[in-house]
Amino acid sequence: MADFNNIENLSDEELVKLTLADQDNFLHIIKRYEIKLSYYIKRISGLVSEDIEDILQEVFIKTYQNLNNFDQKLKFSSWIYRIAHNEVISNWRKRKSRPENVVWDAEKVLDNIVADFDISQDIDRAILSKNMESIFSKMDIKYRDVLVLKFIEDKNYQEISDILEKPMGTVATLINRAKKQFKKKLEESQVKL
Amino acid sequence: MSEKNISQEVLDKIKGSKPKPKWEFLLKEYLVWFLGVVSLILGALAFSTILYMLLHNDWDIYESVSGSLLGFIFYNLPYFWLIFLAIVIYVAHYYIRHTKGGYKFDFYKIIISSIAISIIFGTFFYNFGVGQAIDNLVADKVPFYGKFINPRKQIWLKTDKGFLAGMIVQGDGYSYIVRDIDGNEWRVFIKDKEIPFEPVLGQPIRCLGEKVDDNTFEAHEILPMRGMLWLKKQPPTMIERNVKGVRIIR
Repeated sequence: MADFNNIENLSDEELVKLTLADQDNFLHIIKRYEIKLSYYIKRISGLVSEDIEDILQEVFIKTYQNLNNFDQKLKFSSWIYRIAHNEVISNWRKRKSRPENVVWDAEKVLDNIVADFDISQDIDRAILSKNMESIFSKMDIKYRDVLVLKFIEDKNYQEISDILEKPMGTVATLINRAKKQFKKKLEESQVKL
Repeated sequence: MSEKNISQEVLDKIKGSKPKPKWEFLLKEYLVWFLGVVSLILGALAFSTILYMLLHNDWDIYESVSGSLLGFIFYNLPYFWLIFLAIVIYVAHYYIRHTKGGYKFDFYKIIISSIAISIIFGTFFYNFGVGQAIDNLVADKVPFYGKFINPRKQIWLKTDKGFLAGMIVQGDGYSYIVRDIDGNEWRVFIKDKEIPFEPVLGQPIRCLGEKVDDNTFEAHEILPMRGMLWLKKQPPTMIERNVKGVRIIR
C-alpha cells in the first residue's frame, strides 16, 4: 500500500493507477469518497442509514470491478458519482416509493435557492427552511437529483452531464424544470412568496 | 454511518478478486459501435431502395393511376421502407447513445446525423444500382412484397380498371403476348396509336387501356416499365423468341 502521508497529494486518477497495481490502495479511494457519497445518496434517496450503507457498499464494489473502464477524459469524481447515481436509481426502481425524509444542509441550500430560483428575498427564511425538506421529498427524483448536484454538490454543467449521462442541453432543461417544480411545490405548501 | 465498517466490508468483499479486464470493456464498446454502424448501413440501404422506388415510378401517368398528384404520392410512398428506415435510425441512435461518450450528443443531433448519413450513403448506393438490386431481391424472396412493400404491384394487376403490366413474350408490331406479374398471358392489341418506343422481347411494359376478356387487353397506350424490373426474371420461351417484328434480346 502507498505511503499514507503522500496520499493526500495524489489525484484521484493517480490513486486509480495505484489501486490497479495494488488492491489495498482502494481503501484511500473509499475514504476519500465515503462521506461525500453517503450524503449524496441520502439527499437524493432519503433512505435510512442501513439502506444507504448497502448502496454505498455496492457503489464501491462496482467502482472497483469497473476500474479498467474508467475513462481518463472524465473526472474520477464524476465517474464515481455516476455509479452512485445509477445505483440509487436502480434501488429506487426496485422500491418505487418516495423518500420520507430528504436531508438538506438547510442554510447552504437556502442561500443558493433564494439567489438562483428567482424567489423573493422577502420570503420568510424560517418558513422556507421548515418546509424545504417536505418540498424536496415531494419532488421527482430526477429533479431532486439535479438540484442536489447543482446546489449542494456544487457540480458544474459538464460534471452533471457526465454524472447523469445526459447532454448538457438536457441538464440545463432539467435544472430549469426542477426549479419550476420546486417553486410550484413551494406554492402548494402555501408559503407566502 | 459506520465509516470503518464500510471500508472494511468493501475490502473484504473485493479481496482476491480483480477488476474486470480492459479488453472486456473494449469488446463491449466495439460491439456497440459495430451494431450502430450496421444500423446506419441498413439505413443507407433502405434509403437507396426508397430512392429507387420513388424515382422509378409512374410519375409520367400519375393522373391515369390516381387522378391527382397528391393522391398518387399518398398511394405510392414506399411506407414499408420508410418505416424500416425510421426503425434502423432509432436503433442506430440507441447504440450511438450507448457508446462511451454517446450521452454527450442530444437525441435530435444523433437522429439528424443518422438521417444525413443514410441519405448520403443511400444515394451513393443507389447510383451503383443497390436500390434496384434490393427491390428485385425482396420481390423474389418476400411473399408479402406486393401487399405491403410495393403497392404498385397491386395497381398493375388491376386489368378490370385498365392497368396491365408484364413482359413481352411474343409480338408482331400490332399485337403482343404479355406475361403479367402473376404469370398469366395476355394478348394485347394496340388501338389507334403508335408505340413511342421499339418494344423488344423480354421487355417489361405498362399498358393502359381496357380488358376485353379474360386474356385479351386493348391498349390505348403502351409505355416502357419504370422500376419493378424483377418482371424480367420471367424469361420468354424458345418458341416465343422466333417471332417476326420483334427483336430478340437474348
